[in-house]
This record gives sequence, C-alpha cells and structure tokens, in this order.
Amino acid sequence: MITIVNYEMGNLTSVKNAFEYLGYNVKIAQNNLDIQNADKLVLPGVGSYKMAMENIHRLGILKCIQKKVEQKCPILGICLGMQLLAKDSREDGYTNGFGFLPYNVEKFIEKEDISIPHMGFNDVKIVNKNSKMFFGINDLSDFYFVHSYRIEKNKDGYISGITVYGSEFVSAFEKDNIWGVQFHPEKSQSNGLKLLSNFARL
Amino acid sequence: MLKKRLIFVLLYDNGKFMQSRNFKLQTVGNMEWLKANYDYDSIAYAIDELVVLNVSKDNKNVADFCKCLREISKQYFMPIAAGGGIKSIEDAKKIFSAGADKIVLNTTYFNNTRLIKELIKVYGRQSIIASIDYNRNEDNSPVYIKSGQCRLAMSLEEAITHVEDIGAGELLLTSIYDDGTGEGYDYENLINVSKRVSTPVIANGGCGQFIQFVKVFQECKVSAAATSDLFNFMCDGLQEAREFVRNNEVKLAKWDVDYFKCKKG
Repeated sequence: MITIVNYEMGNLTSVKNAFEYLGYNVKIAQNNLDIQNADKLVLPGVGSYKMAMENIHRLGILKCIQKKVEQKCPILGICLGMQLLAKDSREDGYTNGFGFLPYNVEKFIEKEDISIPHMGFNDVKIVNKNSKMFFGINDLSDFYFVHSYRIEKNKDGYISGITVYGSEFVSAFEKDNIWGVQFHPEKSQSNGLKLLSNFARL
Repeated sequence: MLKKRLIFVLLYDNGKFMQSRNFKLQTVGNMEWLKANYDYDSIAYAIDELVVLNVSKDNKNVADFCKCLREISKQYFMPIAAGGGIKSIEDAKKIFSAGADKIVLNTTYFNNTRLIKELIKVYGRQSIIASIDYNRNEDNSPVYIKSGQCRLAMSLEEAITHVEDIGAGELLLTSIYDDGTGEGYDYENLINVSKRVSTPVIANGGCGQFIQFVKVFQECKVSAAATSDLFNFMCDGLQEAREFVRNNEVKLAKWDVDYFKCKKG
C-alpha cells in the first residue's frame, strides 16, 4: 500500500491517479495510525513552506513520519514535499523542515532572462549513474516543473538530478530510502510514470 | 533548458466536445465517441498541456463540467488547465479538486476583478490563466467576453494591460477571426504582444498545419502554441506535428509515447 500524506497543501488526486494507473493501491492519510501502517509514503504538495510545516505540526504527524523514515520506509517528496525533506527554507522568513538532507531552500535569483516561477518542461541531468530513481529513464529527460524556490546545486553525494534555470539547482535527490523530486512526476507523461513506478517497486 | 509547449484546447458544451470556427460551435461527440473515432489518447500523449474550456453559450454548469474533468484527469498525466463559468471561489475550488492544475478565466477579468485578486491570493498567480478573445477584423481589435458574445469597448492592447495589472500567470490569446480557419495564427498581434509583456503567452486560433506551429514559435516570442482543431489533428496528427516542430529546431519536451500503448496492451 502506497500512502499519500495529506497535510492539506494542494491537490493529491493526480498523484493518486498516477499510482492507480500503474496498478498500485493507494491510500490518502492524515493520521498517525495510517502513516504507521504505510509500506511507502508520498509527500506531495504545492504552496507555502511555512504553512505546510505548520499543518504537519498541527496534525501531529511529524514524529510519526520521522520514525517511519528512520525505520527505512521509502518516502518520496514531490515539489514542496521534496523541499520539506531538506533542512530549512527562506520562504516567508525562515522555517525548519524535516532535515533528512542538509540543504537550504532559497528563492530563484531574479534575472532578466528568467521569469519566476520556473514553469514548464525542463530537462534533468542525471548525475548519479547508479540512481534507482532514474532506472530506465534517459539522461536529460524532460519533467514538468512549477516552483519559485529551489535547492542550489552543491557537492552533496546524494544528489541524483540537476536542472538549469538561470543557474543549476537540485531537481532530484535520493539518500537510501529518502527520495525527493522538485518536478511533478505525475504531470510528466511517461517520464514521470516511469519514475513513480521505480519508487513503487522499491 | 525550458521547453516550448504544444497545447490542445478541448472545447466542452453540455457533455459534448465541440469544433469551433470563428466561435461558432459544431458538436463532435462525447468522450467515448472521441476516443473511438479520433484516437483521443494519441492526441493526449502528444501534447505538453491540456486546456479544457466550458464554452456553453447558455448557463455553464460547473458541476457537470467537473464530472467530465475528473474523468479526463484520471487518465492523462500532464498539466491540465480548465475554466469557463467560474463565478466564485467555490467554483474554482471545485475545478481544482476535479483535477485541474490551473484555472482559466475570461469574463471575470473584466467584470469581477476582486474575485481574480482573491483567487491569486489563495492559489498563486501561476495557477491562473487569463484568456482574452479578440477580433482583429474590427478596428483596434476589440475584446469579447462571455464566450465571444459580448464586445467590450477595449482594444486587445488595453485588455492586456488591464489583465497584467490585476495579475495572471499566463495569457491565452485567442483570435476569433482566425479560430478554426486553419489559415494560421494572428502572427502580427502575437509578435507585438509577446514583445512587450513579461507574462508567458499562449497563442491560440487558426492553426491547421504543422508549419504554422513552427512559424508562431520562430516569429513570435510565445511560450506555447495551442489548437482546438480536432479535425486537422485527429489520430496521430499531433504526434506528427510534434515531430515536425522538433525537426525545425524548436525545443520541445520528449517522452516515450509507446509506453502508454504498451500499458494499454
């Protein structure tokens, strides 16, 4: 059972539809019992980082998610969900995330040649050749992005995908059971479905 | 690098899908019929985004429209924008929860700007597409609202300034005069508009041949080119158009279309 965590930020239906299309059972969860029983967790979401962490605290599910991840339950963060798995964000001041990865989330730097948000299909350079996430997916495949904040490129060994928009940023990471993608695999035609199926098969 | 986009605009009217020419509608069929006769799946796997518009000229029923939207969003995995008849935050909420990633607004931009501002606050500017219909065959290209039924005393240029002042994530510009003719886009206005706006522009109306997609990308600084023409791009038509556009040095996203065909068996 793939469990999608509903922390009340954005539309979960399309992620659910994608896993169901691939033939998997999906549950949408908002409480600790359902999260504890999950085989895999998905953290989707769009919107404000601060509000997202506030919701997670209010629902009382933070510790439960942390525990599951420590017990090696696979987790996939999508877009805002990916950013929450990182250390912190500069959106609306300063907010701490889960901190599974030591990255900071910051706004794109405004330049004349790029408009913010970064929106549309862009390619992902696969920098980890042993990536499980990108198994069966070509280098420089296109994925659909919509975001104004991002994790700047760094030398961390857990980064598996890099994308260029103005400058280079982290579009995917995988640290054992912890996966994060800045793009929306559920909106990226077959490229995204392949990635979701790689996660479902973990 | 960020890719250009090919968009299909599906026109919905009371449970049926329509072909439009200069905003005069002709019934094509319902979803089942489209799939059986037009291989709608092939169209969906060949595009970067889908726009579904409720173009009913009478009362636009949001609940029925959402039912249809829910069906569509279950089977296609790309960004979906939808609109037509959004009169309140509740309407918008229904459309988002039926599977839309963005909403499209036209009349509301001109008669209820307060609602637009509220929608931007709740969903973010990037989720709102401003749709502007205009007729270049009349003096100063006046803008029309209410599915082309009501002319405003506002030129295309004034309307764009108005819409950008309120805020929009994207501009969907539809030339009523070119709509459904297959004679090509309104390149002249698109060149002028895309030069002076910072909001991404989606060109719509008039495309009937592959080369016209290429031309609009090469001559106008648009982010996306759209068509609602089921007749000219039926079956593998859009797939072939995509190949053609890419072979003409326009950067488009790539994915594996056969993946879906295998899935379906």
